[in-house]
Amino acid sequence: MRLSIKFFCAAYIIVLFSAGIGGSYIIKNINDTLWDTRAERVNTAVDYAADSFLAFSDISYGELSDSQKNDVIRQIRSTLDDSVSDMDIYTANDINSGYTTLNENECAVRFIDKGNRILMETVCRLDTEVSDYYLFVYSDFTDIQNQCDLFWSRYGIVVFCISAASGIILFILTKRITKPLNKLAKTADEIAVGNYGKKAEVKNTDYEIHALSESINSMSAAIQQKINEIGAELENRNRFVADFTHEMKTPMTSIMGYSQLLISYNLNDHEKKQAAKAIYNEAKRLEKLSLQLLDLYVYQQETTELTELNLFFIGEQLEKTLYFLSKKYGVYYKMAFGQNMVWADSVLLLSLLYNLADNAFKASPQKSEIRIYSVALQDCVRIYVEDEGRGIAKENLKLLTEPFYREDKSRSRKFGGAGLGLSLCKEIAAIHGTELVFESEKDKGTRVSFALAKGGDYKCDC
Amino acid sequence: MRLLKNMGVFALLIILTCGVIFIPPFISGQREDSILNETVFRNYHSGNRPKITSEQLARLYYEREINIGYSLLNKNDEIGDVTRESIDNIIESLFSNDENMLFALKEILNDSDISYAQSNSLIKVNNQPIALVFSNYSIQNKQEYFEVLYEEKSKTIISFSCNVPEKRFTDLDDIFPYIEKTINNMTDYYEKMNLSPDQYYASIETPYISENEDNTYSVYLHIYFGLQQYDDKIGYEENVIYN
Repeated sequence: MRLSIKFFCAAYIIVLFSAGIGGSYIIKNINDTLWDTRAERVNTAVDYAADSFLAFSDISYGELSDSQKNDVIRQIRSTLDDSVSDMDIYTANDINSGYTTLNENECAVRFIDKGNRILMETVCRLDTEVSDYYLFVYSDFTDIQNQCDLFWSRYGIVVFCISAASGIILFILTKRITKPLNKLAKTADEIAVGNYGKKAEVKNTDYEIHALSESINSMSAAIQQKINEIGAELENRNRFVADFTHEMKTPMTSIMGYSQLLISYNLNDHEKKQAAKAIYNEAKRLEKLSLQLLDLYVYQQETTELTELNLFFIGEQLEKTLYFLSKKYGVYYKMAFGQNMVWADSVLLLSLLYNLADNAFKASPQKSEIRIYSVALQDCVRIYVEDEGRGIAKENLKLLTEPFYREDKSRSRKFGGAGLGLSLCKEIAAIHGTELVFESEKDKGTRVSFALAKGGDYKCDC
Repeated sequence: MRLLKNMGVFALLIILTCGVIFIPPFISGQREDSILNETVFRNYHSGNRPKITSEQLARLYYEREINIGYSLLNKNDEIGDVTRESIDNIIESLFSNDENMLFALKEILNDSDISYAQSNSLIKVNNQPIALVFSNYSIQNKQEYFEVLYEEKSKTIISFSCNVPEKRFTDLDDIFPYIEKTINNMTDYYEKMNLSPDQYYASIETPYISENEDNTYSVYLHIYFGLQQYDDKIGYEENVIYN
């Protein structure tokens, strides 16, 4: 059942029963009060009439004759108020046996219906020295009864009006209150069928409805954003797979080609050696590629615990590799690490520095210089790797850390690279809570930097 | 299906509404019908039987709160002993210090037929009912008349009038003191009730004074006294003498 109908029914029943119970209670109390007040008045009048009769009986010297009784009754009635409509006095011989069982000074009271009139009949037995008398007093309660009936009929009219008015008002109110909920439900339905980012346009100042509307809008925006991120992630993965497939295909093609050559042709020893060497080199490339991919996966999945290291000692270890690279590429280098304690993983840090230095050596012409140094700041230590190489175009800087990206594919392949080195460096930097910052200008050189937290803090914001 | 459900709900609400409107009056009517002919017993609470003093009666009479009507008139040739006793008590209470007057009045009463009338009246004193009995005794013949209106319960004379038989005086100067003494008897009667002079009247008429052959004087007195009602300010007159 709809919420609006449930709400309407509950509210209507509450109003109806409140009006009914309250009205009934009030009417009943009023009616009882009217009856009791009149009955009390009649009882007082009866007691007075009885006293009056006994006062007369005191002064009479025998049983009252009919004329005397009539005179007594007339006089007594003249002193009574209009609560008594009729009165009479009988002896025991004149009344039916039903009342002769009354005790002395005992009264029997009952209500009787006499021809559309409701009368209260009071019969009191009064004992005198001469005889026993029975005083009959009648009081007309018809007006009280009519008044009560009138109150009940008005009760019915009032309750009917209240229920009709409240029914209409509650119906309108429930519709107004639940209308925004219907709109929100429609918005949720549209989001569910794919209209992500759809906003609920509910103009309602009630806090709860407004809060619900805002929540649905936030949810819709979050869903839209997530869908976009998933789309971008999917695109990246597709591109990754495409690039990976391409990178795999190239060496595999060479391996298959040289293998085919060996199988199909009679090569001399030198040619055979050349083919074998080429197959070996491509296989090595494949192995390197797979190892790099594995490292990339591991860095993305695993968490590494950092320790406090002395950067100077890292530099000493790095220098051995730099010497080798310098000799290999014919490029000079300068290295200056201070005695700074940093939070890092020694193996990963060395791998990062090696990759950056290797790229710098590859990009630099012979007899140029690369510089690797650290600068201690307030909360962290920034490490720089500078070269005087060919530089990188500004529009390509943001793509440098994408897997398989190579700015100059021919030179990278020449040096055996697959475009995963900087991706690995990016992951290593992320593990250390930092990121690589590239500054470069075409033909003028490149500077890469990253920051490590100083000993004592796990993260820095520099 | 939903339409049927909604219609069912609204039908239920209408039934509930009708129930709330009609059931309470119906139950009330049933309850009222059930108390018809059902007898309840209670004890009659008797009030104290108050007494009324002469003073209270006089005040009520003065303030016109007592109506005396002779709805019952008994003319008895022979009145009962109780009534005779009442009359004797009345004249004795008035003329206890005047034996001659007492004797003379008793003689008149014994030799005459007394007419007797009685009426009862119900009044309220301190919200309690009291029945008063007013007795009117009267004698009227050619020579004498006697009439007294008397309340039996408080034993109070409401009005008294009679003519006193011939009284002989040897000295004319003795007449006035006698008249004064007679008036004092009447006023004393009401002053004992702490009434003020405007609440009662007392007067004596001497219509006839005659000189006898033996040089005595015969005086005939007509006595009137009784309680006043408001705006009936007659006051009392010492005497009115006329021929």
